Amino acid sequence: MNLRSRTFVLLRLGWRAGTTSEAGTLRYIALTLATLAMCLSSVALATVDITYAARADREVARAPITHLPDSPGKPVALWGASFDTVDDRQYSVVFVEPLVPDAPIPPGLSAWPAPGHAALSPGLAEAGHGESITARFGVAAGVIGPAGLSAPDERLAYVRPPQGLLPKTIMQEIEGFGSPSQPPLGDALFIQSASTFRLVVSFLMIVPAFVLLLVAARTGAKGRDQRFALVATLGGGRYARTMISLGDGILPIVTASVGGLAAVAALTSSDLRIPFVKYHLLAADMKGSVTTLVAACLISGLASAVIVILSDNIGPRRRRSTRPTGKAKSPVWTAALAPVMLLVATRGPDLFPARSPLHMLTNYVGVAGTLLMLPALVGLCAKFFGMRLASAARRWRLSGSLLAGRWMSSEPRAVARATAGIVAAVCILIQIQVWSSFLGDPVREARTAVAVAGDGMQLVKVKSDAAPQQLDHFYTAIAGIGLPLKLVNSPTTRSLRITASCDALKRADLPCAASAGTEIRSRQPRTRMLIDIMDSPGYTVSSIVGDPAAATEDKDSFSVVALVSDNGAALDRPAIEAAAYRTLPGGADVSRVGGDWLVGANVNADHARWIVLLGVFSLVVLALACTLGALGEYVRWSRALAPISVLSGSRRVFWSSGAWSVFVPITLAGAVSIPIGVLLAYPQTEGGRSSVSADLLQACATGVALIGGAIYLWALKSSRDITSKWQPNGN
Amino acid sequence: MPMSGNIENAVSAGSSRPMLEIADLTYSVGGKVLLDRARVTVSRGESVAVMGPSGSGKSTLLSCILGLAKPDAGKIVVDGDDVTQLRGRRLAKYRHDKIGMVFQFGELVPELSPLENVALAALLAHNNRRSSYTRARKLLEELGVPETGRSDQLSGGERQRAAVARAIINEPGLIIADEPTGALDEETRNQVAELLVGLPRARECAMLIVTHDAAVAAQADRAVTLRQGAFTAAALPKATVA
Repeated sequence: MNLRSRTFVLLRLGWRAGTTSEAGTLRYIALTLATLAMCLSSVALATVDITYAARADREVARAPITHLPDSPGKPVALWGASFDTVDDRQYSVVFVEPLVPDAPIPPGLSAWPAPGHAALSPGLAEAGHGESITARFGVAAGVIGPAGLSAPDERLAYVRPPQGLLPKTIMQEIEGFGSPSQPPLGDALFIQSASTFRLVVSFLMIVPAFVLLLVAARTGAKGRDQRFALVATLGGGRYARTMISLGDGILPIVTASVGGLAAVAALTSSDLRIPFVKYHLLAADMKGSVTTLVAACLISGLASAVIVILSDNIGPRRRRSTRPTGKAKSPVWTAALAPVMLLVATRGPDLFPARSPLHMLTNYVGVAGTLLMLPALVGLCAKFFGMRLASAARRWRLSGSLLAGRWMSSEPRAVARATAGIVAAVCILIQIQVWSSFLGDPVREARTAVAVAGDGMQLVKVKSDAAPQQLDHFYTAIAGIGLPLKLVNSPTTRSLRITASCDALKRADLPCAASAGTEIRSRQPRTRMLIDIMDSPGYTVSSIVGDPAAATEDKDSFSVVALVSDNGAALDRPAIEAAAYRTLPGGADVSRVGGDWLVGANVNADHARWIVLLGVFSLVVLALACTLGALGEYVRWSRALAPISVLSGSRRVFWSSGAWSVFVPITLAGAVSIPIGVLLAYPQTEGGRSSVSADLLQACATGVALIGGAIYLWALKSSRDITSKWQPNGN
Repeated sequence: MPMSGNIENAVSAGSSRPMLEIADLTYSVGGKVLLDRARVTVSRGESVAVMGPSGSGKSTLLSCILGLAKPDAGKIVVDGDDVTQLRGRRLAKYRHDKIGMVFQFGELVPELSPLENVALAALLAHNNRRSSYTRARKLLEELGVPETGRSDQLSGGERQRAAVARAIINEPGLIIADEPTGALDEETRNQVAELLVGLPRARECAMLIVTHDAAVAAQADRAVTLRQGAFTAAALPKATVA
């Protein structure tokens, strides 16, 4: 018989066995979902690289080529990058001034903006709609096209200031665009690095998908192990067993791979806006790397097939028995590795400097290892618990508990499979909460502070190259908007002096003093917050009546102008910003009191949204792993119990055995996972950088109990269906 | 120390070289010696029943013959191959070419039909697909087993006859059976026992059958008892056969 024909027959036999086996449908669903999760995770990982590479290409294309004194080229334009704020988030503003008529135009623009004009990205125009962004830089006279943006939603502005308002200190002469060696600009300044993103995707997508795959591959394993042990006894070699195993699992794997390829087709056919994080994936970027995406999908399918084949071949260990039992040993070694991995996760990072890549990587590797090994430990605990249970049940004549105890003690791997999802879900949920807390708590605190300060006071930070005359123009421009107070922090005199009109000082609840020197206090929270921001330890804080424009500064001092509403109403911040760009070189930073804090915190909050999004994927996948794992084992268990139930005419045996073999292992896994999840999060929570929420732990415990209860009820329903169909067969 | 077993074949069906030759086979587990320099031979055309109390090492003997367990010492030669020296592909080839096995409960793959179960053994021996199915069909017809349906729906007798068909489809030189009638009623037991002990002469092979059932053992050409790791001749009156 030639190899091709034999392969086909063996595949077909595997197919037949797989489609008609006792947990066949459940395994089909489990393997399809697991392979699909693997495909989507791999495609996501590939998408990270493709997107970052495409962004980098566009960033290089728009990066200026600096004109150096010894370079042969001629300067064609002046170029300078600065920052501004919209929607409480920073973005890049690029000031430009062409020097020659044929100066190459920045990518994404159709022409150089005229003096006093600006071109905005669509993302900036949308985000700043409520802040009159189109009027901020003068006349908004153009839109930056996709070629000039690293991502479609990027917030960016090209501004050509009016005559005499170029911020000369930041401008540089350039010869054109397309430099590979410029510092980052735009979104690149605010997003996570590709390596961090890859790590997060690996941890929150690949690891859970892999856990689901391991559970799915071993769903209904008992029957398959017996089948493979029998085939081995009949002289079936590794090749025959591999082909039968492949035939058994090929349908769900191919189905899921086709699903993955459909996702790739969707990614390459139209732009996709990812919900919740609102990030645009560009079809054009994906089309350029369609081979990589297809390869990622197919490799995942292949990897799934390899895992399925390996699990079938490793599962039935050689036993000294003439009966093909396919029984596996207790996972002692895997269980023993769990505490080792826990140690690596919690203490391993100490071996490396804090915040270094190896510090983080050691923690992630330890956490991932613990998640993979911990179920075996739970299985082993269940084995000993089962022995005790059986012994107690025999003493108390509790038939269901006796059966469940015996099952738990003889099938630790099955318990491990059934609980793997819940263990990983709880630990990952705690990790997500800790990360979210680390990244999201500051933004909540900042929002509270900003809310307390309100919009009735605005801070204006004027750039250093503003001339006195320009400052006068600025003060004149904002005269009708609010009353100015100038705060000067001087290290030379170790003082913080607030200079303003008496009216302005009163509005800020500060004393009107003719001369400085009196330590002041304010009953207004926003003024206290303002002083806290500007003050330094040991400095004297005083207020003095005077012209803020004329307040003296020395070379070491730094200052800020606070505008206070004369009637307590919110100040028109867009008007202040527009006035700054109209009168000062490079405009000015305008924010609410505490606004800088909020802007900084929002960067982390945006990163936290990705963690929450990927965390949801992770939890859904792990919940599936838990449900399918537990059900897969209980279906087989129900078949074994069906005769007892039918013969005794009672289903009570299912109630008690189901409670012990489904509900108890899941809740036990939850009880073990919660403290271990807290331990795993130790490197993040150490030193109070973040914290594990007690509410979350309570919710975890409740959630696990509810999931255990739901699966228990589902298992009871399955056992009822099986019992109603059971008929004695054979002799 | 028990006397080592040394039961040479009393009945030989004309072949000079024994099909199964077990020489000085020693096997121990957990400090307990199950086989102690045990010796037995079975010739082509001969059936030998192995009896003995539970835990005496009968099933271990079969595991050693199948290559599932590795003995501490001694040789197991089947049709010229020393099983104790076989590994990997050679062991797989030995299993599907030279040996046929009948398990106590048939051990058919429940998801496959009887026809597929029987053909599977031939396919694993690299036989042609068409001839594998043709031969499987013919054997099942001869033995009165339905071809279709799930194997776990067969009666006990049908299941064991299908297992016999699977064991003989590759025309092995040696058939071993582990309590093949243990799960059957009396009438079915006699039918299956008759079928099994008739195989050596009908198919010119050797048969080693492990059984607790004296009635089944009595149908074999010879019966030996495994006790304290060694074989001794068992005297069984033919009258015990029902």
